[in-house]
Formats: sequence, structure tokens, C-alpha cells
Amino acid sequence: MRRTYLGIGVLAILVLALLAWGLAQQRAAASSLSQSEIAAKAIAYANSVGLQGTPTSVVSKQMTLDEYSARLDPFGNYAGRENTLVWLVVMKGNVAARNAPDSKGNVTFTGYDNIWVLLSTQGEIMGWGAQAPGYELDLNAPPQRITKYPAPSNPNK
Amino acid sequence: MTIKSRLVILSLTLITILSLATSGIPRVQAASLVNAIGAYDSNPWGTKAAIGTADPQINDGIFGFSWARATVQYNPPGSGTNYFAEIGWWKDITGIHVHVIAQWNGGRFEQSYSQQPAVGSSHNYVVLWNSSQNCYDLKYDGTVITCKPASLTLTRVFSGGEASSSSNAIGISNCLNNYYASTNGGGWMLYPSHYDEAAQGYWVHDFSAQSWQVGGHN
Repeated sequence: MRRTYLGIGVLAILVLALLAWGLAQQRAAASSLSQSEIAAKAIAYANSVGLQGTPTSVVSKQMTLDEYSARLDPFGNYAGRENTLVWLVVMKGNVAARNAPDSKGNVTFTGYDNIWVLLSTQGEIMGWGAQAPGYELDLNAPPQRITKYPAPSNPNK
Repeated sequence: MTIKSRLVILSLTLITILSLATSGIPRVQAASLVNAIGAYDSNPWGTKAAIGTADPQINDGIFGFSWARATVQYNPPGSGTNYFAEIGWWKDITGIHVHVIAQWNGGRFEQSYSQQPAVGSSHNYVVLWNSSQNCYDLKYDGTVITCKPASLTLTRVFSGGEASSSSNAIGISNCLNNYYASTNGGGWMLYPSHYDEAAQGYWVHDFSAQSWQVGGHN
């Protein structure tokens, strides 16, 4: 009799655990945006920081923060969050990125022909950037984490 | 006015509206950025400051921001080159986070990190050249958040606030104890002097040669 109760108890706990896991999965899926929704958010954000008009191409990829870090932020501190999934959306188009103010307090711009946007799976904007010629992103190529940046060409110290 | 001429005017108006709608005008004009900073022209190895976290009003909608940061910059007048590395607290629709912006010959980078400075708290923000990785360590209270290149040669260092447009406040924020790094490893020296830059409607109140407060439109 005691064994029967024990069995029922274990079964009940298993069923409850399964239910909780299912609910958590459902909630996570519900709050995650689709790839097209992510791309739309990225384009809207890119427009707000300097992309002129509609991008001529859009490529997006879901990856871990660790992969993103290897591609674009090799020395970034992501301790404990390496496996968090994010979206990286890369667009081609004319970009005018604002600079830090010059010594007269004027705001100037630097032109790029591309822009990338980093988003959480829920669509929160986490960051953005643009690559100079020779530093283009290729999401099809495996990420290669550098251990140091190229030596500065102007060591005028 | 004849019906024909009315139709012509209507057609021209519609064409103008349609061409404007499809010409790709950015939704936010980045040209409207505003700043309030204290700066020191020098070619040091880095800069640091204790910066207070404010809670500025942001009215630019979901893409608006306001922040205060410490910056190293290489921007020779008339060169068109503007490389920089910055770290500070950043407020946008997602809340207040530690934020980094950098630009160098390889591109542009901007990101919020997981650290969340509390409103009213003061934190140490450091930008210091790291010669083994050829980039600037960007530190928040002693923790390296990331490392970004900018330029080894600098034209000035500064700290202060910036907002996405004059519709937003630059939070009232103390930028205290501004130091520059006199050597490769640090050799921290207080700024001997500084000059202020503030957009119309914003301000920098000087406490001393190395400490000031920025704000406006709060």
C-alpha cells in the first residue's frame, strides 16, 4: 500500500514537472519574435541611427552571444551569458553614422556602406555597428576570434 | 479654377507626397544630437572620471537616448577623421545600462552591456590603452567591459552628456575627478585645465579644473 502511494507521488511530481517545463517552453516561444519581425525591427532601428532609406540587402542569423563576441566584440565581457541566443542582422546601404562632437562642438558623420544590428530574441536592440572596407562581415564563414587588434599605424607617443 | 487645373494640382501633390515617402528619409535625424562636456586637449594614454547616474527625460520615442560618458578622441581639425572610444551610463527605452561606443579605421561599434547603474549612484569609468591587445580597455568600476581600438594618438579627452536630440534632457550628472593617463600603464594625473562645450539649452557648471556638472532640459 505504502509503495502504491509512493509511486503515485513520484508520478504526480513527474507530471507536474513536465507541465511546468511545457509552460516555460510555450512562454519562451510566445515571447520570441520571428526572423522577419526581427529584420523589420533591425531595419527601423538602423534608419534611426543613420541608414538612409531601404537597405539593398538584409541577412540575419541567430547565434549565441559567444559567436557574436567572436565576430564583433572579441574582448567583450559576457561571463555567464555565452550561450544566450541573439540575432545579428547585417544590411547593405548608405549609412551616415554620427561621430563624437568635434573640438568646436559640431556633430559630424562617417559614411559606411553597411550596418549591423544586434537584437535579443525578443527584439530588444542591444547594439549596432558598421564595418569599414576590408572588415566586412560574412555570416556564412565560421567566426574567428582575434587575440589582438592590428598594431596602430600612428604610434605617435 | 477649372476642374482640369485642379486635377493637375492634385496629381502634382500626390506625386510629391509619394516621392517623399519612398525617398528613404531617416525617421530620426542624427544631426540633432546635443552635447554638454568638459574637455582637455592632450595626447595621453587614457582618461577616467567618476560619473553620476541621472534619470533624464527622453521624448524621442523608442529610439531616443541620453547618456554621460568618458571619452578618448582623435579628431585633428579639418582632417575628417574622427576616432573615439567612450564608456558611460546610457538611458533608452530598455532602461539604464553601461554603454560603449567606439570608432576606428576598422569600423563603428556601439553596444549596451548587462550592468545597470542605479539612478543617483556614481561609478568610475575608465578608458585606458591596452598595449597587448592594441585597444582601449573600457572599464566600469574596475571591471573590463570590452576593449576597442579607436586611435593610439589622441587629440583630446573629455567627459559629459549627450542626447539624441534637443527634445531630450541631458541628465544632471556630476563628472568628477577627471584624470588623464600620462603613461602606457596609467600614471594618472588630474586634468590641469579644461574647456566647456554645451549645445544651446544645455550647460556645464564647473566645480574645478577637473570636476564639473552637466545637464539641461530636465
